[in-house]
Amino acid sequence: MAYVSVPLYKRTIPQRYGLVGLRCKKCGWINFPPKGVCKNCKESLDFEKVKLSGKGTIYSYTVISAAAAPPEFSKQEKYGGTYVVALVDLDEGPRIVAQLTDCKPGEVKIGMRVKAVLRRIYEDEGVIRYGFKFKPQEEDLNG
Amino acid sequence: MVLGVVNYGVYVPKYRIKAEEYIKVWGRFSARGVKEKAVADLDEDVMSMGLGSAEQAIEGVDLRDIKVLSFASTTPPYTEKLLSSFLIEGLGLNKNIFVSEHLSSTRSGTEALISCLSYLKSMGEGLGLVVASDSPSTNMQNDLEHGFGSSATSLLLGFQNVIAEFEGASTYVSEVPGERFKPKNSSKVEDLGLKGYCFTSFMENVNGSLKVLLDKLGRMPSDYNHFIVQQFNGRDPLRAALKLGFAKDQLTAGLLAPLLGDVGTCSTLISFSKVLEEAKPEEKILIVSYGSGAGSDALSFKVTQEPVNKGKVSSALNNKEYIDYLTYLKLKEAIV
Repeated sequence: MAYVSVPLYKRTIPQRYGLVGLRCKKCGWINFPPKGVCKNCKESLDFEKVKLSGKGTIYSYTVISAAAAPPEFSKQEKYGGTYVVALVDLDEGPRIVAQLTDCKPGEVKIGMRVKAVLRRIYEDEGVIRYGFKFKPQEEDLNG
Repeated sequence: MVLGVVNYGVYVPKYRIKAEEYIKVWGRFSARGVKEKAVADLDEDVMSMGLGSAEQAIEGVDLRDIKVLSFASTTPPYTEKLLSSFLIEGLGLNKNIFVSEHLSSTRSGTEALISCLSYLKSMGEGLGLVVASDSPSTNMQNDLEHGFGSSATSLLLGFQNVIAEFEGASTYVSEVPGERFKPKNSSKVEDLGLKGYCFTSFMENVNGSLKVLLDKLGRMPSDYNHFIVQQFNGRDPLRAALKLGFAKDQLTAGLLAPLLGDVGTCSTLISFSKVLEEAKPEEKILIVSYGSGAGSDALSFKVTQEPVNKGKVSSALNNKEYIDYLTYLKLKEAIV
């Protein structure tokens, strides 16, 4: 993640805390994160807000270790060890990138069902940045 | 019209550390009666845990009906800045509701509960949400640290589909310096190690709030099926309960410090949730909190029906992964 200023971060809080996306009124496509123009039909500017379920499936993932962690995540890597960043296909359609939590790199599988949880992401200028990560849905952990 | 608890939610982080891990490192474990305690992960704090518990408590309700939010913690991530705003945004609550934040002692959980109940009572309608979340911390060499755990609980209050009716509350406050305090500009809890002094204060304040409530309701300790008292460790609650005229079996269902440690301002409310999950209609529950410095709230509830969605507390208690002391130090960012 590149540097995100506090005002920009503030503007995106509904999507970061509440998974609020935009449904295109023309083609029905759900845009998440929200876009100015619909990513699917590339025409419409007419949207309605929709709260996503936070449920999805892992499309792909990668494991980040010491040398690869961006500066804002270096403290996390130091104390918590390697962590997983995944591409997640949300049930409503969008494919997004996020960290996984509450699971070890060895437990992650492509196709695994996950759900979003709001966690601390990192801290910058004394300001805590909260946002969603994904954790395995219980049924996958049990077998 | 009956005012009371409509639903509850709990959040317990999955990591646990056992007392034996402390004994291996320090040669002893000072939190008496605590077998293991819950430990927050690096990306969990009182806000994220509080939100997790609140999501359970508000499941299935129309969020527009929630008219008041009361938040309690002794370990807020900021000492100045609104905190309930995080919950409003994360849960998607109405931005025009009244919020109150209770942050000064481990009594804050019941303080938030009484505040929320009072506000709802004055409105005569709607729902209220109480969120108590805590993760007390101090220096690793401090005896208090051995007991400190992390957890969150939320209670949804209202007038319809009540599972436990609110019967009354009372408070006792007295000035007691030098017992469990956080100096200005510090995030670490301190105390002067005066155990007898602290227990005497505990008894005076708890007895002070209990006596007034029991007199008001015309009840005796034996009229209650469940007695929940603030739990700084696993042993003192029993000692206090016996002195106050309660029996061991009244305490059993709500005794969680042996499994979670001292979860600060969340203590009485997470125990209340556990009891609600097991109690039968007509059973009576007495809650008494304690905060250093010092004060105590006593609250009385009568169970009216069993909760619809049971098992939330037991599943949070059972979902656990043990860590060793070195991992614990890393999670606490104690190695610098």
